[in-house]
Amino acid sequence: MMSRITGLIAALAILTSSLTGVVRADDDAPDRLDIAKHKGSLEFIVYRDYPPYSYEKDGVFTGVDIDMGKALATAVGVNATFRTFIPGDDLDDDLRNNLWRGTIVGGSVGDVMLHVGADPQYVVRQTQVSIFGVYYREAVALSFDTRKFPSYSTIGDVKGRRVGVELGSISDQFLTTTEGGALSKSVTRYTTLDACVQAYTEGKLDAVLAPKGELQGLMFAHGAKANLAAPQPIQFQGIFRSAWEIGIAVKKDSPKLSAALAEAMSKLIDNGELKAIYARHGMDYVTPGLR
Amino acid sequence: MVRNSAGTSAAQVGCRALISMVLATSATAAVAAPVTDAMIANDQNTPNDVLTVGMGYSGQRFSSSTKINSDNIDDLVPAWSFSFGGEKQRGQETQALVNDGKIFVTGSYSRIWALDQKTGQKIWSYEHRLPEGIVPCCDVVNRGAALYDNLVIFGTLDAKLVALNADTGKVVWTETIDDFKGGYSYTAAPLIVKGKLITGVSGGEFGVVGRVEARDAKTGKMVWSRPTVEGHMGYLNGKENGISGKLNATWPGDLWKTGGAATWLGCTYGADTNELYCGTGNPSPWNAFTRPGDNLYSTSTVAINADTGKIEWSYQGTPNDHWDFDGVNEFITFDMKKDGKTVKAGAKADRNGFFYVLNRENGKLLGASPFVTKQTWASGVDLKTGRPIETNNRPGDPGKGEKGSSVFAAPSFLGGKNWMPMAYSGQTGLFYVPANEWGMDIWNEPITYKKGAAYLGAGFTIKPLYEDYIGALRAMDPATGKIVWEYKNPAPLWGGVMTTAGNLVFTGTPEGFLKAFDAKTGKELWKFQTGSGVVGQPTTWEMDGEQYVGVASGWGGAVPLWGGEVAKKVKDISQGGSFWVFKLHKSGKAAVAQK
Repeated sequence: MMSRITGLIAALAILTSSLTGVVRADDDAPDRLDIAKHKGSLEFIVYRDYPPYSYEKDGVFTGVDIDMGKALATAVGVNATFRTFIPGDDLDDDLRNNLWRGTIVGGSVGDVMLHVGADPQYVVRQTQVSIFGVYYREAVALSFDTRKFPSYSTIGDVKGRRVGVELGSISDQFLTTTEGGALSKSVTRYTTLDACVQAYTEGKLDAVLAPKGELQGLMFAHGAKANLAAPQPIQFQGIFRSAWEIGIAVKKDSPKLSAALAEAMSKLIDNGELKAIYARHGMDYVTPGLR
Repeated sequence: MVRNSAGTSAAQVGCRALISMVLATSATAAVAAPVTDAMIANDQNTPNDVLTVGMGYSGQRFSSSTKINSDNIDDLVPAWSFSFGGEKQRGQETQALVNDGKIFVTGSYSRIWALDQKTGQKIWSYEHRLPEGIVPCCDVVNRGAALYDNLVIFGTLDAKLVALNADTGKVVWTETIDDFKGGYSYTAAPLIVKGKLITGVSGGEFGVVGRVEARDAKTGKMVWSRPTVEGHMGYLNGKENGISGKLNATWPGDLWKTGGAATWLGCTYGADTNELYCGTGNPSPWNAFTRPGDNLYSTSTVAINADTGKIEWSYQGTPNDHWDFDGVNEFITFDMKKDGKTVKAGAKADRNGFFYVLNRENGKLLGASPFVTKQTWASGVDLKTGRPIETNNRPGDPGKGEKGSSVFAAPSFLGGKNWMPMAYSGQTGLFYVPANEWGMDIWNEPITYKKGAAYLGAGFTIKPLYEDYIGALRAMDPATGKIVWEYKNPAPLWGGVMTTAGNLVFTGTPEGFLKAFDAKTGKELWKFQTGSGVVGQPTTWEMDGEQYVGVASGWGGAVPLWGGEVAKKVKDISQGGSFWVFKLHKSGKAAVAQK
């Protein structure tokens, strides 16, 4: 297994190379950028049912990732279209099903996948897709009800409280296994974070542990009152990752598209447009560490 | 065994019509031969039809036909072949059903055809319209249909049940098992018991709770539902019918709410006990350190009363599973002769590598012996307590270290035996088990995949145990637990097994062969190359005094979807999609003379 440092360096090399468009094409097919310019649109792939990033509201698909996709398309000089998908068992499935091969049910692939977890070791392992354009840093954070939590300093303070998490999430796994499961009885699991935050705003939970952006956006959407504290990042111990970068992915056969999107993303970050998009959905924009 | 002695087609039709007249209770107009409960109950004894996947309630996959036998099988030749057509291929795991002059075959991508039993020509086809965005985890297979009244009923990849008119292929009713957007799917063959359609659920890892459901087969209306995770409420005729097990007895906290234990292979039925025997999948989440306890009724055989939907007993093969040893495998009922006594028994070859024999009346363990050469996770099973004797082969706890330590475990998560059903011959007293010899490196990742989150990679890699073979068809004596003979196959075995009173055992191989073996000695007697890998379930029937054998060909299933060393063994296999039918060769003159 490659060490984390080596992986990080290799990942940085890939991130850099994709900016300059030197990723070699797999075959003679035209670059997806040329196809997009010809038909006037790029197809973005976003998670279905993933508020506040990409979800249906009053019959319209909306969210941070939708706004960001539109802004990226504009910067490249085309329109944006979107396709949504249900996550498979792992990220390999999702990249394969949506970007480079299509599902075994015979689906076609799209152009750009948004909101891709960009773990350096994972990025460097990819043979079919480039993961690049890192644009956001997600970090696990805790919000607590100040009426029920007199003070909070370490994760141990949640012992005996009712802490809501999304089932199977990193928060769930951490609270369930850490310190020999000392906190496991404090966990209340929900199949979606949306349902968890709803319960939280209705006073059924003392705290919620979740990725900060997601949690902030959902608290905003559910109209959380002032007694629910703004989410504060939590540092996990051991190998449990408490923060990670988010990027975008394109099939390796389209280096021109990757380069154009990388440039467009830099522009959105530099001119504050991305920050404004996050703010519209009630979230703080966090510059990723790898940028 | 009652053998139908019909010798000509006229006699066969006459005989069938007579049975229909005598047994049909609600014969609708213009229907030639509605399938009745009595016909299904007697399926194993009527060689002219095949009404159930499993060739009878017991699931023995045994035919009393002897016209094709170990003395004349050299003359077995193709009668006809039907191509499923279209662009859609992949794994063909079906078993054909035969009734009233028609053969019903399901195929990949939720398709089904009715074929003329004599000519192999298509009578009708039904192709289920699959919605955009379905993500079936483990290939796009279907394992067969069920017949009842004038209906042919099968399940689809988007978790629906579809009942078609057997004569026309027109939809009579459809019901939704669950929301495919939640990861639910359906691939098993439904089972008909006393007018009820029995199904399980297939589902993804998170949030799915296994259950068994009984619907009115004629209308699709729900009769009862029984969850296979303790703490969940069952229902009978729309009313609460008691929770399964006892809340929090074997699950900590609220994890039972999403406990897994999917019933994705369905059930068999014991007519004498009136119990359904249903296998259950692994518990979730995958990291067992998060759910201390036995986690009932995961990785178990659960006996459910067919009328009331209540659990009567259960037996768990892998308590607190940590190796992804799904316990879904078929529980085949049989009468075991041991020490001069006959025991009402049932047997199951589990993913975990043990061949279990239970008393089917009470679930008591009678025997447990390995059917694979290597089991790292347990040294045996304590016959008194019924529990495995573990060998400290669990991967490390990521809550304690940098990364959960990796261990090598065998069998692999694909199992000593996967979905493919074994067969039992009352004639030889042997079970014929399609086994695979592989192991895995396994570790606990601190990060499982969630949308938008960091993700490191899979927590296991699969490895063959031997250079020269993975697959092994093994004959097991249930009374002694001994392996009587074995046949080794280079690629993993992934197709069903059938045995006949003609001293034969049939199974397919990924290399493309349908093979026949001597049931007593295991000697390979016959093979035929079908053009693509065979992962289907062979079956047999008689028509006009001749015996036929049918099997679907078409490579796929979960094996090619997993990478590593195993994928190398199967990467050159062509895809396909066809149904092959075989009969004994007769020269032209002989055939005419016989008529």
